[in-house]
Amino acid sequence: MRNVQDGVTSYCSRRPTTTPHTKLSMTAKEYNACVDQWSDNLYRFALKTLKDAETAKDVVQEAFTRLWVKAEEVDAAKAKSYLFTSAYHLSIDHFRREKKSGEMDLAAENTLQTKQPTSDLSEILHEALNRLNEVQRSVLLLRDYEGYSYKEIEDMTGLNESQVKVYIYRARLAMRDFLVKMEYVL
Amino acid sequence: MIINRHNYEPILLDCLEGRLNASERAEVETFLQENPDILAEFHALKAGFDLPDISVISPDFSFLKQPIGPTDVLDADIVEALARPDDHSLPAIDIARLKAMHPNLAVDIELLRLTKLIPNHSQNVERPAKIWAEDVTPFDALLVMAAEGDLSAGALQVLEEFGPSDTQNRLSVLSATKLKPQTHITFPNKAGLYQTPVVALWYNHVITLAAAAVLLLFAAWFVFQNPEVGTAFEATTAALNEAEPPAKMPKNVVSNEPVNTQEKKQSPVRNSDLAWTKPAVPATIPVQKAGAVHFTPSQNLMLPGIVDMAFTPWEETEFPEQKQPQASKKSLEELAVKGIDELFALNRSDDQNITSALFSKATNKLNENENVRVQLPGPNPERQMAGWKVRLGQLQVAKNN
Repeated sequence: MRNVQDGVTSYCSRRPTTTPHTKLSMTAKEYNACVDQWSDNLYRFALKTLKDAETAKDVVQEAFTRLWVKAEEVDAAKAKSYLFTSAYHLSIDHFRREKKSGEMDLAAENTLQTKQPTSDLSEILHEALNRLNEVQRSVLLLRDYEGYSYKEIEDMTGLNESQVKVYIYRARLAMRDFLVKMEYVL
Repeated sequence: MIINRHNYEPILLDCLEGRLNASERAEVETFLQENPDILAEFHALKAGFDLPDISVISPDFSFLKQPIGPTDVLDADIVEALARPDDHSLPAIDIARLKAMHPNLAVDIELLRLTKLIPNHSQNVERPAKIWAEDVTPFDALLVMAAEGDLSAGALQVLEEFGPSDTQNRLSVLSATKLKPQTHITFPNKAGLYQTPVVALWYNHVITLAAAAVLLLFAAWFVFQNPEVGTAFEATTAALNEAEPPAKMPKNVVSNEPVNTQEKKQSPVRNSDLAWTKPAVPATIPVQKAGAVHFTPSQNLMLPGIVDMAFTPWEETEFPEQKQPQASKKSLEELAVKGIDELFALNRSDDQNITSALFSKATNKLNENENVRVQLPGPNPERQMAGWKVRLGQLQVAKNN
């Protein structure tokens, strides 16, 4: 894994210096507040989407680095959306790379097969979540974890609203079927 | 119409005479079922009329109906009301009329409304086939909408009323699929994400440089104010020269006994076994003290043979008397006289005094390496030294001109 701190430093060094006539849209203080407020949420989203802790850390690191590089252009109020948009696209890019190498599906399948039965509904739901495809999983996490509306998810993912609905609905029904099939609830 | 035990008689009569509409007749029928005594009265009354028996259940001819789609039965008012994008409550619909239709109609209406694919008055309605593909039935879609909170209160009412008996159960299962964040999962390296402002980095550098400059200035001031610091090494040198040998002498220093060569080979002499000898420390050591001002005067004008002269502004240290090389002393004296003569020639009495004092010290205190310690006259020797250098430069310029 690459050195995360080095990556941040290199990006910071590329950040344009301020001039007396330009005002930062996001100050370092506001950026650090974003770290405090959203890094955990972003990490949970990345971890559940990617199912790999190290890759999730990289995605979080990269998302925040991108935010810092674009700090002069991103409003602090839009920082969360920017972060999750970056994390979503980074995750999708990661999936595409991994699919080319054919590693991810096998790993996920092995993980699922080694899961022990559990009676905790939350654990069952997250196991069901793991069975969704990556786009369904990302969209559902944005919806459930962060409470984004269809329109906001549309802006973040680049899908249209109907597609977002389709992904969410199918994901929801798939999770329901998993619950019913496992006879955990019904 | 409200029928009760106080007004039922005229209503029953109207019923037997066929003046009631369908809903009123249904109401009468319900009333009769709830009141058996009046039902018997009704049968007695009916016996006097030659009317068909309404209690006979007619055959179900619904199988004759054709399958209906949503656009076939929607009337303009309902569609217009349902298509209002900002209306979150289902408008007043004639529930009895809807109930007479196929239950799926309400579902279809709601689907079309929510997917905003209803144009004006149900003309050319496009079914959202792409969204509601074969794997998602309209009813499932409605259930998911309800679970997602996308259904209005009215739509939810329609769903519960027309849906299967286990609609609530299905809804609760779908609602249970909502994920909750696992808050015990936190990002492990949050501190690595923090950034410091660019301005603050520059500010830190300035602060560091300023602190270093202050420390250097303080060190220089301390050295200039404490001349004893510079003589510490010389005091140590003198102490070493006067030191006595240690009282305990090492073994095997002087021995007249025959030496066993075998033993010697087995135990070679160590450094600690050698006789102690007094360390040879030179009587005078040329010392370049910290803070000493190095000055190389103009060779043409003043001291061409002396390159490095160390002037110390503190109290002169007395060196032991040593025989000076006469040639150097003589040459210095000559140079001093020459320099003083040149200064006299320019009528600069103050410079003459300073230079005279300097050269008299220089000729008297020249050591082996031609490093000279002198004390300049006046309350601020450093300033006078600086002024002296400037004036020497001016003299050099004047001479060249």
